[in-house]
Amino acid sequence: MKTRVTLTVNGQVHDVEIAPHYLLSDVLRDVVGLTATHVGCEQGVCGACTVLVDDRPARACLTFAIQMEGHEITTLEGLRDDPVTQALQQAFHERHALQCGFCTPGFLVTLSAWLKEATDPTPAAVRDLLTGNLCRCTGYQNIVEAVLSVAATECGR
Amino acid sequence: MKPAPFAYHRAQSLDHLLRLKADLRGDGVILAGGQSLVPMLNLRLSRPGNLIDINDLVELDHVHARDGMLRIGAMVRHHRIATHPLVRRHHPLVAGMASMIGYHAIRQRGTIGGSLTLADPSAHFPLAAMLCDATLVLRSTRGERSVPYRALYLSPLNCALEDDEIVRSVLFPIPPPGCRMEAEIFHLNHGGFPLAACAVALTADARGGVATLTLVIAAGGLRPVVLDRELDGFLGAGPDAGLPAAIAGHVAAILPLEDTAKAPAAYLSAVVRRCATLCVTRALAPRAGEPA
Ligand SMILES: Cc1cc2nc3c(=O)[nH]c(=O)nc-3n(C[C@H](O)[C@H](O)[C@H](O)COP(=O)(O)OP(=O)(O)OC[C@H]3O[C@@H](n4cnc5c(N)ncnc54)[C@H](O)[C@@H]3O)c2cc1C
Ligand code: FES
Ligand code: FES
Repeated sequence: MKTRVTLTVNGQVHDVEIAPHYLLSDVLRDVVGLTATHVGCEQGVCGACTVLVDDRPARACLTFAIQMEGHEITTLEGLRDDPVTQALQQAFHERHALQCGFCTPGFLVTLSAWLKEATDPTPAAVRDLLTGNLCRCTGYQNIVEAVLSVAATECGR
Repeated sequence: MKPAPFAYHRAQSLDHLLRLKADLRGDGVILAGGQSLVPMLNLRLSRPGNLIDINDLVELDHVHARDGMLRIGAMVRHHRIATHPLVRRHHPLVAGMASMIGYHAIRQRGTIGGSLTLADPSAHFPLAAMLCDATLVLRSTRGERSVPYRALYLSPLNCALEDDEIVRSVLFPIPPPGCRMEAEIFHLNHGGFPLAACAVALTADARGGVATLTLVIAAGGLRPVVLDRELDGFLGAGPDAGLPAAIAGHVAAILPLEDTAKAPAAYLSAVVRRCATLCVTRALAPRAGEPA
């Protein structure tokens, strides 16, 4: 049975008609029409579906859309004007930190939130964080380099 | 895969939750952080008729330290436990365990109540709760009861909660001065579930030898094993360089390890010995600022 739910995504209010068992990842893509949030494993492992719930990273595949009434969801589309995200995009581009790009939205969302809080973004801390995002193409080296180049200028802003 | 349909209830208060649980019984499954339940629903390993969302319940979201106890509400998330000043000061082992669970995004949502209730045999908080002899405060419309986690944990993935009961909070005794707690977790892949883990609580005597010793081992998918009286032979021993390895050898020898799909028994036993050696070594090492 479907019910009406009010979702706030990237600051915009959406009235959607959904069933309780619809995953947030599917509702974002198929109902709201925002497709930057990717779906890989649906088990919380790959990180491709990572979005922000009230500014904290969360797996959209482990969240039911109906739970999100009263919360603010931010997807990569909503970070378009965020300076840290823009710096990350530029660094990923320059350092060849993506190939197919499937994993990239999850990396950017996770990193944009983390870099605003991290006080000591050492290479080890960056690698530890990124264990939660799988990339089948790049081998991670260039991603880590891109993150560290941004961390040097953007951390704690 | 996608979950099967269910009816959704959002608990508005603790009383509302308890009434829902009393009405729905086993078919009303609690949704806390969802970091274990939703993967199971997505894989259709579980198909409850009703989910009861407890994410709004401030009554389950508290951290206090008083009367020698650290009390943590069931809905407190791993990240908050890892970074909470009271937890870090009074119970560094619990904070440290929280910081190691899964990945950053998982720790933002997952809760201690969910982790302890699930009772995964290789999970971090169950190991800590077993070591510290933590107590769970359970509630239902019938009232409240407090049960030691060691008694509640019947077998892997099986805690002895009644159908209408929920976990309200967990009480960790604050370790006495001089008691050191260490844990060593062995993963095959970083952030994945541990293959084996060991946690130790040790008090040293005036000479730096062993005055009290408790060890918990999780390995091979077994219920975590608590060893204390089994280690009485080591009380008064040391300080001596061979002691950690001797304790670890004794521990590995008495564990009923069998071959599993992930690793043969001999390998698990070697990992247990290494984890135990490392954490006993750290627990015995002199620390700056403490009398030798
Ligand atoms: C990719 C990934 C990696 C992970 N790695 C680790 C790891 O390394 N170590 C580790 O320990 N864990 C790990 N986890 C599990 C994680 O810690 C979960 O958060 C935890 O096991 C369950 O907590 P939850 O709040 O998400 O509970 P949920 O998934 O919401 O619920 C789990 C179970 O507990 C019940 N429940 C929840 N709260 C209550 C309550 N208050 N009263 C009664 N019943 C309740 C639910 O009904 C359900 O049966 C991982 C999870 C993922 C997705
Ligand atoms: S699709 Fe959500 S973590 Fe992989
Ligand atoms: S760029 Fe292809 S998966 Fe990461």
